[in-house]
Amino acid sequence: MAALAIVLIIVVACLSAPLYARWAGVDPFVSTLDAVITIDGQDVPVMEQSTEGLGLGYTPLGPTWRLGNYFLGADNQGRDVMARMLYGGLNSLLISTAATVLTLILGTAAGLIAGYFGGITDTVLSRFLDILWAFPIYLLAISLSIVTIAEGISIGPITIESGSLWLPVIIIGIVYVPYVARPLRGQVLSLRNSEFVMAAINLGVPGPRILWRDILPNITTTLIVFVPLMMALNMLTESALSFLSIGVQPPDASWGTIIQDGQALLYTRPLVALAPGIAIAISVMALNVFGDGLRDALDPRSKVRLGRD
Amino acid sequence: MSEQMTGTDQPILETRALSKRFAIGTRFSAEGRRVVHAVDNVSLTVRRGETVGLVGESGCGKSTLARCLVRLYDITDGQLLFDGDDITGKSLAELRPVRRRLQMVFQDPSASLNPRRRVGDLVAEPLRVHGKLTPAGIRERVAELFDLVGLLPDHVGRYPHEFSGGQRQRVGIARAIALNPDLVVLDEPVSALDVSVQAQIVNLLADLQDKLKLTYIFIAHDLSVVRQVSTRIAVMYLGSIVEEGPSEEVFSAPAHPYSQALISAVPVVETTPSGRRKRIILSGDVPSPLKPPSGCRFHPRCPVAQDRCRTERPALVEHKSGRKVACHFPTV
Repeated sequence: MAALAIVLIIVVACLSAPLYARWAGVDPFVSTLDAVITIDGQDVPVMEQSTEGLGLGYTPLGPTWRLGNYFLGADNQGRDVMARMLYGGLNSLLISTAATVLTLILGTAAGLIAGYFGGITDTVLSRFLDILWAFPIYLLAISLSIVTIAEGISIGPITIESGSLWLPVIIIGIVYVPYVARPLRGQVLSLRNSEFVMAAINLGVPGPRILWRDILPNITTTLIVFVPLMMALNMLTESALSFLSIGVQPPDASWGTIIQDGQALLYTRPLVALAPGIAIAISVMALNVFGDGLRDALDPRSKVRLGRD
Repeated sequence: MSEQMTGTDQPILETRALSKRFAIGTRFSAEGRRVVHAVDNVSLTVRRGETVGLVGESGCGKSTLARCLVRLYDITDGQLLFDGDDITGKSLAELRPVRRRLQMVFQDPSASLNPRRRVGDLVAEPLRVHGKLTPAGIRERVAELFDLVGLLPDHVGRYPHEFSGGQRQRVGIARAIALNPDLVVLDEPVSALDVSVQAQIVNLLADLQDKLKLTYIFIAHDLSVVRQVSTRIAVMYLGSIVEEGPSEEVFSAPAHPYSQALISAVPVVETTPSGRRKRIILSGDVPSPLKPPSGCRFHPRCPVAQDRCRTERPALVEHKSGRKVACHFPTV
């Protein structure tokens, strides 16, 4: 459960982003090219005049390793990278969590309905999911993002403005639906033929009630195991989209956008790109390890083995 | 079990030439689309108050027939009448009122009870779905049912896995009788249980039949259990009934060659070996229901088969009062 501890530490750190920014006295969303900070009694400009290399313009401050004082240095707009990292992590977590919830709701609904009612309902739903599945995930996500990024979405009374965090949430939430719906459909299909569902049908229990009371409780372990694994996937997708400027929109931050900012500084200040990259790697790995552990702990088959008398 | 043949009025359940066929494979699979004749041309009449035992070896279509009788499976051919009411083609919603009176107990109580729900909740389910009882009324009725099947009142809050097999089957029975049904189809209710527990459950079923005036269809492959509980038995072979008659008569003098072989296989305790018992051992295996044999389904294994049996299928006809046999050469 070390993985869970790491996940929790990252979550807590990211949640404290506004506190950190206030304590450090920086605003990570406005460029502060002419800011000057004090280190060891010396005044240091955030943007240093370049004296070497190509000699063009300015190079942002490197890491000071002083918490609250440009710990990881500044980016090319003179903003505190540490503060942006925390805000970016917060956005990455929010988006991946919300997208996970969306995926699980849609995927569970689709899996339950397709698996339980079968027949033409199943055929139509499953083929639709197959079509979604047939697209490479990133291609689909990128296409959807490009289409919606400029105008936002407006369906009936619901309008989502471009630049809203909901846009990547919905896009990521939708592209992964088949990944959840297909395995769930299989499980529901086998549960539907189990004796206790037969017994419920024989008692005259209506279909929706059987789905809710008899089938759903038997797939919750699968759903729980999906949560960390989906969050890891979503975080990667979100970072990729943001890196390509079609996810989180500036001045908002996300780990993906910070990597993109750091791209230009790769030779002089590699930490700007490296830090969020490492953060993504650690988070995704921790979530995956945690997910695997959770699966081992909750695996219904191992439970049956324990429960046998 | 109690014998109270209340006249010969309306049969509670009647099947007329009922068949169930499953299609397996698609036209794209190697062998093409094939049809399994799981239940073939079964005509069975069940009168109020009796216990009809349905016997046959594994895979002969007993359970499929049971599930057809309670309409868990759709019926391919023939008719199913419950209390004179044709329920062959009724939809799930139309069947709901029928289900109050037509219940089923499943073979494996650990599979037929949802592992994620408390047993009190499981027994209350039919009451919630059908009844107009208040929550307090439901609780009272559940307690009453628990008492009736010999479970303790504080068992209601437990999960199925906290019970032994016999207790679980008691829960299954409580659930089946919750709505005061007329007919209960018992699909091998004791075959998943230990022998000592089997007897308890069989006794419980007999008690309940007396108290609640139930009619049973009792399915089993254990002939000694069926003999003990049934007033009438029907012997199935490859999806069809080959012999039907009063339990004691069929057991003491089976008329169909298959029943003879089946009944000769029942182990008995002989204090003094008499040598009278002859064990009939059939040659060959049960044919595949994918390709049932021509004529009499039993002819490839039958010791008395003639040419006629290969071409002409014998109908289930009454040879003596109450004794129906599907054989060209019955020994009645």
